[in-house]
Amino acid sequence: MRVLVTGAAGFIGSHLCEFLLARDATVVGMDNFITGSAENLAHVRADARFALVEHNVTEYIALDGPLDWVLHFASPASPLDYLELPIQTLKVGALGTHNALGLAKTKGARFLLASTSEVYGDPLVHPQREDYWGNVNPIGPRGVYDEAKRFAEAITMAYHRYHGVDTRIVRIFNTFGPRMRLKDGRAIPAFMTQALTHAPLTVFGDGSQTRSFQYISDLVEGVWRLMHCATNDPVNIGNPHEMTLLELAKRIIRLTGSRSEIVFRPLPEDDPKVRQPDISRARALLGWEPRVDTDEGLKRTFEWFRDKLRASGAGREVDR
Amino acid sequence: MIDEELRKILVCPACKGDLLFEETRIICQACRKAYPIRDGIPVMLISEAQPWAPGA
Repeated sequence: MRVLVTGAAGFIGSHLCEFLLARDATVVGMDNFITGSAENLAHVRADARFALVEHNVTEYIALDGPLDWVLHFASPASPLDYLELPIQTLKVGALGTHNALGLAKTKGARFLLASTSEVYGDPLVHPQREDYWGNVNPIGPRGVYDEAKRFAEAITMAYHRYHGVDTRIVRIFNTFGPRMRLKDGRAIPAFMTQALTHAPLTVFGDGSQTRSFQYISDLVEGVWRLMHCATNDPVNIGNPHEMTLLELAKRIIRLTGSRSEIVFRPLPEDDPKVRQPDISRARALLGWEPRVDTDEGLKRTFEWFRDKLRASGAGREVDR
Repeated sequence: MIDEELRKILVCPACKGDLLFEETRIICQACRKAYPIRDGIPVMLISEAQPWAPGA
């Protein structure tokens, strides 16, 4: 089986490539390395069944030979990135998804769109089921990501309905684990870095906004199962274990034995107040549910961040 | 060097034509473009390609 993964050098893409290689797939990874890093794939680069290509998927994608799956994961994904790269984010969601679908159509390949819980925006329904249409501000600063993914879902369904492409849509809820970038701006890397250096943990707002965090291996397993399931409707993949950001900050301080305090900063515009997946569909269709407990996932991630920080020269503060 | 698997599947992103693999670059003779190879990664970006002429 030959698989194309776009965004292969990113956090999720790199774990996905590793998982596919372990299941005997031949994997072609594409990335333009704007937010991804070849370092994330260093351990699989020597594998003869793996190939990495620098490519911008907003330009035409051409590959020779057969292709069984196209897994479209390319996009800036952290708010810091997409606020800095608003046009690229919209382009990869629109043109990139169009090109990836075109390739899947040409090759007769099964296509998967990595969508997001951000399609639900600041949700008025809680927890979020797949049939909820969302509450997104199209002209707000976060709209570039949310609307890019909503467009990507629309064009994916259009290719399915009009061209008969065999498509999948996974709506990914907050996911964490090793290989997140230290400074990607998301809560877990920020809190971990701050806790490890005994700097104050910056909580936005009063910390009462909630998120549900799933560990990376659970997501990858969910994607794998979705690819083997004959449904073209979107499926939520996330951990329903919901917690407030303040609670998350306290957990990380406890887990790392940090001396850090918690400080509060103004809430960013259009920050969702609540977020929790309803995973009934994934349970019913895929027999899937998260297996890694949040604290266990945080522990594994913490170890990775600690090693990463030591290697980056912040060692003295980390070891203190 | 670019491995066999990759040689089989890569085509020119500009014309979809066949490519010629060299040690440090990948050449599309039809488009007269040379795509760089950096850290063993083929950079298949039209904006990064250098002009190429036969015999160069």
